[in-house]
Amino acid sequence: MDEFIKNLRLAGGEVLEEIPDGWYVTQAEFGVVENGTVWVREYKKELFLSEKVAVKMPKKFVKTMQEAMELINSPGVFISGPSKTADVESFLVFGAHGPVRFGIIFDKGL
Amino acid sequence: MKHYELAINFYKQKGPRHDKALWAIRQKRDKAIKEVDEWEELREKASKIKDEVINNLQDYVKEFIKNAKKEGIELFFAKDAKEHNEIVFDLLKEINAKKVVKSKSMLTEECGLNEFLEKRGIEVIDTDLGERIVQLRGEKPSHIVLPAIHTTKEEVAEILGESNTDPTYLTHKMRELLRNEFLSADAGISGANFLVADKGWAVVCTNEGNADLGAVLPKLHIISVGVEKIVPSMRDLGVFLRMLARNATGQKITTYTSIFGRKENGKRVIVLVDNGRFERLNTEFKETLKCIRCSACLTTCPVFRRSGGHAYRYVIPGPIGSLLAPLNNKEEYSDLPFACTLCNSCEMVCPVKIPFSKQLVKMREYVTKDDFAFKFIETSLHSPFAFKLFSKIIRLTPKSILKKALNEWSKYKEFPTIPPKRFIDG
Repeated sequence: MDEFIKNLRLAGGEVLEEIPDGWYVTQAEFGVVENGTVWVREYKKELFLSEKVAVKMPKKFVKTMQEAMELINSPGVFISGPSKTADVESFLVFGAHGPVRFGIIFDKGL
Repeated sequence: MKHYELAINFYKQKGPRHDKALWAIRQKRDKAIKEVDEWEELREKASKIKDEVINNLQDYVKEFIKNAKKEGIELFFAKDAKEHNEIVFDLLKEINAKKVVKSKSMLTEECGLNEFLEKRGIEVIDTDLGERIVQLRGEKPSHIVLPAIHTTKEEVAEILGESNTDPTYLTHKMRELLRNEFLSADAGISGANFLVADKGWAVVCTNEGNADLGAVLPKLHIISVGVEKIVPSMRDLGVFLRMLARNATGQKITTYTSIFGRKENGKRVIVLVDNGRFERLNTEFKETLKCIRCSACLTTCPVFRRSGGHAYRYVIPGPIGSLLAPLNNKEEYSDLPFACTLCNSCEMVCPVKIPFSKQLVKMREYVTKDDFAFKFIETSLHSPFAFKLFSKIIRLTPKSILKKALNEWSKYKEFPTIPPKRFIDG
């Protein structure tokens, strides 16, 4: 789990303790350790239109994207941190078209 | 103008900065792949998967079409660029579309879709921030993953009419301008990085979220994609998803890896495009069909880093472009396979092991096959008599005339002193 959180933070993501006001919240099914990405099955426009997006998720992880593929049985989206770009002089900027901030909240009691 | 002329102009203006920016990305890439112990095994797997696909392309296309239809996606097959553009135009006409938001798709660049639609009264907004910068500047992308890598922040500020040159400010300014375009567009067009044959799904990998906004907001989402982008199964997809972003930009993965099936609030259409790909299967350049457009060969290329992408004049520049461009138009791009030192750096970073050096040498043969000068030299080198005669003529010709005759070559290189006697004549 530590490796997952490290990689999530490297991609600009945050670990949240509770759901803050004004964030769009949805559910993720699992995380991928090697890149800190989460699998979200529900593909809604709010995921991309909102300034701040949080996903609730169980403490369920797979090591690599290859293992992740075994768990996917419908379309959806892997998300790794907030939207980003480096198109202006290679300078990394969060909030390219989608969310400026992206956080995860672990389901309690697991 | 030829590659070397454009390259010299570019290098004088922006070369060192461009070289440095790309080399930094190459270093990030090296760091990212070192974290994956089995990187070389992944390359081997990726190469084999792509071999399997291109060797059985017809079957995979059939399988993908069948499964995508089952999934609820409308499918079209376009045999060339013209047919592709017409299909897209008809789809847009059907819903009376006036404005389309497009995310990055090298295929639509290959087909010249923007110009085609604009001529017919449909506004096309490129939404990838880098592509939007070059669109506003009236240029083409200079790199397939970093379309505006040749521009400076001052140039971006200028095109937006801003005096503030802070990259964060400029990026958010463009986000604001483009958000309005997303909300008022009639359709979204994107490419796809992969098509999963046994599921009928399309996979799009992006960082900005623009492809997703274009896919989810308008009622119509069109995916334009080349037939070679198919992978057999999700298991195979996993291999490529571990490699693509690491090899392209040194990220562990792109922000979004979107897997598209049926569209919930409208219609999703996939236009599968051949445009010479099936024909290429029967040539010695069929291995170029393995390319996943990661752009690592551009970023690492010592010539590309100094010449910039525009010197190649083709939608796909760099080493892979030097193979693809002459296949598209031999006369126009015959200089490109020579814009290369055969240093093999591209081959070393290629995630699907395209044998670049061999292919580039073959491409040199291909473009010079009918060239009189090359034919003459080849004949001379094959006959001792002709060779002796030829070298004698060279020796007797005054240097100034030789220099003039070999103008392209001698313009930027010191002309060597030709010894008065041949070595073998003692």
